[in-house]
Amino acid sequence: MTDLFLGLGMLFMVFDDSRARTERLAVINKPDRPIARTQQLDP
Amino acid sequence: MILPLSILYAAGTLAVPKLSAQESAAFIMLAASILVFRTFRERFLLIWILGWLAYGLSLWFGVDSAAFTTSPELQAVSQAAFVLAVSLFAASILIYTHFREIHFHAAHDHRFDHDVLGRAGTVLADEVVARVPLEIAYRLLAIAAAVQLLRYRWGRFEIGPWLMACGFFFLHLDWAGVTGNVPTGVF
Repeated sequence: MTDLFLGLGMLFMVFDDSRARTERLAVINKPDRPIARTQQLDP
Repeated sequence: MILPLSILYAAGTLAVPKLSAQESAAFIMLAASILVFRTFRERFLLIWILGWLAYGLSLWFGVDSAAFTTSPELQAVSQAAFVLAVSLFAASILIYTHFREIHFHAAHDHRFDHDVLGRAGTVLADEVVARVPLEIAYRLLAIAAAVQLLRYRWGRFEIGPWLMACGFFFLHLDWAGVTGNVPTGVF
């Protein structure tokens, strides 16, 4: 049981961190996308 | 190749020592950690993998292992590997939480553990005078790591840190007469 707690706990933490990082990147990318599209339309 | 070997191993026809459930769990966690490390490439995961390796070896050489008739020397190796595993787990958590101040103390505790362990090995594995400081030393390390982890992740309610803290609190060496009442594999 102890082994499972330790192992699964670390896996959960790493995956939670990864998800949080992805969400942060998505938030940063959100305003970037319309800006990039606008710049592409410029002559 | 792997499938026939697995079948032969399961059927018991291979002359390879069988792993107990606890040893299998430790080695499965080691494999899972290696897979996660391949993806995320975090430094603390590398230390974590080494910790699982040491933990697996400590179980392999331990009292409950079906593979060997445990001699006092093997018990000492098992206990040394266990203390090393706890130290590596704690170091991994400290690296994960960016807690630089305690590194020195952890290293100091690690040396202290090995001093205590050396004495335990030379005196007698089941000697109470040598065993009690060893128990206190490695439990201190484990509890300090658990507390640091909970402090670091306090603001976010996630199950991972709590599971790990529980694991750290219940991590222990087998001690005949003290932990013998709890069946192996429960805690």
